Amino acid sequence: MGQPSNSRYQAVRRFARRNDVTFVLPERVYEELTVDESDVEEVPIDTGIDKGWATVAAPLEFSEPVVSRVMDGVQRYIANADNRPADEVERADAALAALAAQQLSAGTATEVYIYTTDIAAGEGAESVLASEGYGDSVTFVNGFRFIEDLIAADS
Amino acid sequence: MSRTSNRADGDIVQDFLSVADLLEEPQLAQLYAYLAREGEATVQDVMDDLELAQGTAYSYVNRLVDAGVVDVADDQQPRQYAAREIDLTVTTAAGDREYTITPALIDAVGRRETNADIDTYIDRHGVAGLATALTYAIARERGEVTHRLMAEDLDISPLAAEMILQALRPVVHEHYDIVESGVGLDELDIDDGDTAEDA
Repeated sequence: MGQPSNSRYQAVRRFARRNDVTFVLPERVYEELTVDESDVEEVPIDTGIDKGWATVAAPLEFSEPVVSRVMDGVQRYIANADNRPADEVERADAALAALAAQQLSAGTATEVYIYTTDIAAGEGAESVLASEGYGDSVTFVNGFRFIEDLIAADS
Repeated sequence: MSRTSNRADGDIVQDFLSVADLLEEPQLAQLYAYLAREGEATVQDVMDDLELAQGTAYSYVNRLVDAGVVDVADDQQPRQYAAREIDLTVTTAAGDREYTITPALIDAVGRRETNADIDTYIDRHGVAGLATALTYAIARERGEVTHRLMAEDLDISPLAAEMILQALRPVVHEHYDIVESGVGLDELDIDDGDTAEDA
């Protein structure tokens, strides 16, 4: 999304505010975005958290069988797509789906939209959550299409 | 080996050197990619669309014609120029790896002129590094790999991987047939402040 001054960042912020949406980030994803990085000057996500349209989820509860099943399932799905061993797949890729599983099974959400630019992670989440019976409750939103649509709608 | 096959070998080496020149000079790569995209174009079109001065446009077009990667498609005035297809496969001596230099790579290099993320990436990892990143960008759009796997394979940060993958995405969609996966804004049914998750 880039820096807060960036048009893409602004478009997402406006979308969240207008629709009263809060983006929930798995802890691992947040850690990646806040890592000390020479390429990046400041941490844009913290601004979103301060303003209340983004939040970091509590740690995943792997003691919940469905959470760890979904985590493993998505890791396997991504690994299969590229013929790799599943343990090579970063857990952050699967954390989105695991978080969705946690919220759906706990009843804190009845419908989940998963935003990612990684097709394999999005499709993996949809496929594995469907096999857990949540097929109708989960939508994979292509992060690029979403932002391009927002910008087109704003202009 | 006969003389004629030696000459053919020479042509291949010449092709290779021409393409190597394109990869070294982003302005030439940008012009080549433009002609490949347009089909045919005149020098005036080049001046208008790439915002080049007349002298510069003529000089670049002539260099591409001399290098043999652009042909005069129609000799009537104003002349129409067209890109020749480049599809050059480089194989390592051991024969265990090969890479095809495609119009997509040339296009990506050409975008260095207008895209700071591509420019920075080439500065750090070279054109060879960009070629590798492009391979990942294609695989990612096909749903075969994630930015995190790329980061791990190449020992760069996930954020750096995501930035170059985003910068290369338009190149991938222009040169490869990829069905877009996932929904966009229109298919979102948001009205009640649902939970949304983001990576």
